[in-house]
Amino acid sequence: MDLESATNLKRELQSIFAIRVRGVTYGKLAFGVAAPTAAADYRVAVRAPSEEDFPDEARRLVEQMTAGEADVRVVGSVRAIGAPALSANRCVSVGASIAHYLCNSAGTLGFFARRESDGAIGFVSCNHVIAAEDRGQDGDEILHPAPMDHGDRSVIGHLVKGYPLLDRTDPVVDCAFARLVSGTPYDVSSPDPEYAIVATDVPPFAEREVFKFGRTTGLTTGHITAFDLDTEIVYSHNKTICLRQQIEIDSTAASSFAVGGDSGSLVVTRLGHPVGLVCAASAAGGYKNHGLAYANPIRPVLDALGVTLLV
Amino acid sequence: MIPATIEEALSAKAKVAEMLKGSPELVATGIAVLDGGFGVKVNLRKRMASPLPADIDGVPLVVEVTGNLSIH
Repeated sequence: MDLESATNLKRELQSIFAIRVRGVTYGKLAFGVAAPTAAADYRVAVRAPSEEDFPDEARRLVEQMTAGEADVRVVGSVRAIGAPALSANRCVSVGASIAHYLCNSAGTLGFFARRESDGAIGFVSCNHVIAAEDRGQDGDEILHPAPMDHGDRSVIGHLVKGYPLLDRTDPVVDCAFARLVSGTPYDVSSPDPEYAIVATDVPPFAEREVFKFGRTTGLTTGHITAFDLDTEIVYSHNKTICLRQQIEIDSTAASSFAVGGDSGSLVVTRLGHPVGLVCAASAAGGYKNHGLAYANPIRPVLDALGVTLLV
Repeated sequence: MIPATIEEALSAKAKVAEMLKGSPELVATGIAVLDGGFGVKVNLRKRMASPLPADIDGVPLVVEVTGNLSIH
């Protein structure tokens, strides 16, 4: 089936299983779209933690609805990594799990920054992570870890008004700045000493090899395959926005450079120069067809927010 | 195909964007980073019925089916 059919069918199955199938809840099943292979086109992906979580009745329903075009696998338990919880002896750090209080999702704290107008210290992530896709108001609470992650939740920041809106002509950035709550322990340095970050940013054509620290996938490496991309991106409620000047990154490992929850991650060249802010990923393409990651160029992010990166 | 300069690639990108304007398969156009230079990158929702040329004015065209992009 084509990508659109697979996506629609996935949503349909998700809705059915989210409610109930004959009185049984199948909350542990995950649904997605399986990328095409040499032998098959797009299919609905179904992942179950164990055989017990995916009994015959559920299996038959999936087969019926997809006419057999489903990629079903038992994958064991899946858990997020790289989401350190705040505690008295642990700082909030680059790559931490964060979210706007209205969002039932998770994103990444990209980097700490100082606001140039008044010297206020805070952190930067995507608009869709900490400003709820333009709905965020001045002073809104930013949570760590994000509500969907485990751990003792804390309010670590307050959204600052004046962030660039997504709903405007020719947007380039999907970003926002939040003031750090006074007294919150934080660490601006790279989580891995072998992958240092310096304060001087570079344009996307300066160096190809990059890395990032994300809430979901932690440290990943990749290389820039394209820049100055004017690209459509699907936001919540299927709203499509065309972002200009985006950077495309392919993974250099056998897994994606960035997946769900990694939005807001700072993309850094192997020499330590900030180059972008992860905001989206594709369903297909790239190394082993794992999909490609997309990032805002970092200079427009810093300029739009009026901040200086702290390292 | 010999990689182009960044100026040549930018010029070719504008032509490709105009050529594919309104095409339902088109997701993105940009500058491809190649060994030793640049090309034009075209990302598609699905394969086009008629394949795109290998170059535009001698600038390499890199076409990839990425499907839709979504926020993460």
